[in-house]
Amino acid sequence: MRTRDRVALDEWYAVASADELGPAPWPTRLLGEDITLARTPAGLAAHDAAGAPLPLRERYGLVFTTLGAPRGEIVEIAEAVEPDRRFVPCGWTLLRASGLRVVENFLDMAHFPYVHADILGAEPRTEVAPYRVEFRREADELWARGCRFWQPRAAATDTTGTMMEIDYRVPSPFVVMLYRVAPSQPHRRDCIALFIQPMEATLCRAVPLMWLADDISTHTAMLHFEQAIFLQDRVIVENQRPLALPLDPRAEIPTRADSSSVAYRRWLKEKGLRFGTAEWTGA
Amino acid sequence: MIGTLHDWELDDEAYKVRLGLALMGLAHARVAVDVRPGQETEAPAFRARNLLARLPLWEEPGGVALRDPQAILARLAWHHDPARRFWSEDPAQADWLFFAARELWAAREARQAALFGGPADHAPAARAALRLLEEHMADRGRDWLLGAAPCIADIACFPAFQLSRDWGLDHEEFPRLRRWARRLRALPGFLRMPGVPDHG
Amino acid sequence: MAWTAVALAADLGVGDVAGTRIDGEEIALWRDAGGTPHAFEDRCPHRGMRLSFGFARGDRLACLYHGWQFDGAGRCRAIPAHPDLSPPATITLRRHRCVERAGLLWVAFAEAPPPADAPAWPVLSLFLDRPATTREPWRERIAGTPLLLAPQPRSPTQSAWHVVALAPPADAAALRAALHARRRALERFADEQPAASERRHAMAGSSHLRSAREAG
Repeated sequence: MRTRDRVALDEWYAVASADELGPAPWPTRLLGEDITLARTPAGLAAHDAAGAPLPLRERYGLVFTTLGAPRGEIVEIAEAVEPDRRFVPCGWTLLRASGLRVVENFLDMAHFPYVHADILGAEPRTEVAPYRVEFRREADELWARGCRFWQPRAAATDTTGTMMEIDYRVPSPFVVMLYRVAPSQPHRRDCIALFIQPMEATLCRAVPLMWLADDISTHTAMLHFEQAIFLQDRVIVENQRPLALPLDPRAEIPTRADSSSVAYRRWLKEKGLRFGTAEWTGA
Repeated sequence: MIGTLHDWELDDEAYKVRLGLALMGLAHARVAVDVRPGQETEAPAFRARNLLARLPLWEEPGGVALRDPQAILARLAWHHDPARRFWSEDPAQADWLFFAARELWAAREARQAALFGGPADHAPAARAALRLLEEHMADRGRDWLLGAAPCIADIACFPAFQLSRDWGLDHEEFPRLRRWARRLRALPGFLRMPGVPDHG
Repeated sequence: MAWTAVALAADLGVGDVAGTRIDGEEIALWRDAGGTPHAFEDRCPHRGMRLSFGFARGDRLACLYHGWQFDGAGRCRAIPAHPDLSPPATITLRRHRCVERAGLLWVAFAEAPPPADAPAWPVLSLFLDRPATTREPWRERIAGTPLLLAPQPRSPTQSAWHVVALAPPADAAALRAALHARRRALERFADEQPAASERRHAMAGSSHLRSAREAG
C-alpha cells in the first residue's frame, strides 16, 4: 500500500536500469506501491497500482519515477559528462534494510577497518579525524567535507595504501555520493553515487554508479571491487536493530566520528521524512 | 599455472573453487567475469565454453575444462595437490560432494533470490538441508564431515552454511556447524569472501 | 523457573560468539578468554548492530560494525574511532545473568538462585519448529540413559531442548537417533493438527513425569 509520507513521495527515485527494460511489463515496488515499467514502441512507460501513468526520467543509465510532486530535479553529477572517465554501473542489490540506514552506512568511515578490513581501513589505524558537516540550505543538500581516513587498498590497483580524502554529499534522503582522490590520478577526484529505491520501510534496492579517473584497471576489476565492498555493508544494514532508522537522539549513542549521521538524522527530522524511520509505525 | 578460474567475488559456487585453491596453495590464473550487470556468462563467447552459462569455469592448459565446483575440487585435490591433503579415501566423500551439489543447491537459490530478487522461496528447503548437515555433524562429535581431517566435501558444503545470513537464516540453531565453520576458517590459507567474517 | 537454558556449555568454547533468543528477545552469548560465559542484549548501543555478529578478543566482546569493545560487565572499554578517548561509564549495554550449571548455559532476566549443578555429559541441542509447551526442565530416561532436558522458548513458534546425560551415555548413537526421531514426530504432528499435537505432548509430558518418578 502506498505510503502516506508526503515528504518521501515528493522525490525522484531510480527504479531500474534502462537496459533492463523490454516490452514485457517489469513489476517493482516503490514506497509500498506496486508499479510497472515497460519499454513500449512509443518509449518508456510507468504505471502505478491503479494503472495511472507515472512521470519518467532517464539519467545515468537509470530510469527514475515519482509517486508525488518533486520540487527539484534529479541530482546533477558533473563527472558524468567528463569524456575520459570510466563509467562503472554496479548492478542492483536487494536489501532487507531501511534505505536510510543504507545512506548512513555509506557516510560512515569508522567501520572501514572492521567491515572492509585491509581494503578501506585496517587496525590499528582506526582513528576518524574531525571533519566538517555543511547544511547547504539553498540546494537543500547535506555535505561532509574534509574527511580523511587511512586506506590500505582504496582501489583495485592500489597496493601501497593512501591517506584518503573524501567529501560526502547527500542530495536527497535516499541518494548519497562521495568524491575521493583518484588513487591512480591524485590530481582528479572519483565520484561514486548510490541510488536507493525504498520499496518498503525496511526493504530496498540499491545501485552504485561510479565515474572514475582510472586508466589502469579493467572494467570488471573496478566493478568487482565495488560490488564486494557493497556486499560487506549489506550484512551490517540487514542486522541493525531496529532495521528502521531511529531519529530520536536518545535511541543510539553517537560519537564525534558520527557527525554526518547525526546531521543526516536531524536533516530528515527537519524535513518531516517518516518512511523508513523507527518512530513511525504508520505505512 | 595449473589452470584458469573464471570467477566473480560475489559468487558462492565459484567461492568453493577459490577456497579450495587457497587451502591447497595452488597457484592459478583468474579471469574476472561481469555476471551482473554485464550478463557476460550468457554471452555466446562464454556459453561456448560453459553451456550452463554460469560460474565457475575452470580451464587447464592441456584442454581440461570443468564447470561443476565439486568436480573442480576433486580435480584439484586428486590431480594437482601433490600431497592430496584434501582428498579422502572414504567413499562417503562422493556422497557429501553430491549433497553439496544437490541438497545444498537450495541455499544457492535462496541467496540469489535474496540478493537479486526472484519469485520462488527456496529458504525452507535450504534450511532443511542445513539441519541434516547439523545432525550429521552432531553424530559422534565429528570435527570434519568425514572424520578426523578436512577434505573437499567440507569445502564444498561450507559456503551454503557460512553465507546463510545473506538470505536471512541465522546460525542460532546450528551449534555444531558453527564449530565446524570456525575450525575451517582457522585452516592455513583460508580465504574469505563478503559475508564470511573476519576476526575469527 | 527464572533461568532458561540456551545452549550446551560444550557448544560455546572460549572466544565463541553466538546469537540466541528467549521469547523473541535477541541475546548475544559469548565466552571470554577466562572461560566465563556472558549474555548481552543482542544490540550494540552505538548504532544497533547485533553483537552476535561480533568477535571476542580476550575478555571483551567487539562489535562487528565499528569495533566498539565491551567487557564482561557490559561496559564499553574502547571506541576505535577515538583511540585516545576513555569511553564514559554511561556507555554500558544491557546484559543478563548467565551461569554454567549441569553442562548447560542458563540465562535469567532477574535475580534468582541459580539452577542446581550436577555432573553431566553433553548430548545435543534440538531445535524445534513448534512452541515450547513447558518452561521447566525435566528428567527422562531414553535409550537406557538418564537425561536432563531443558526447554528454551525461543519465539512464539520455535523452541529448543538442550539435553545432557546425568550418567555416561549407554548408547550415544541410539540416544541421538531417538531424540531426533522425537523432534521429527513432534514437528510432524504440529504441521498436521496443532490441537492434536498439543494433546499428544500433554500426554507425553505426563508420561515424562511418571517415568521420572519411577526413575526416582
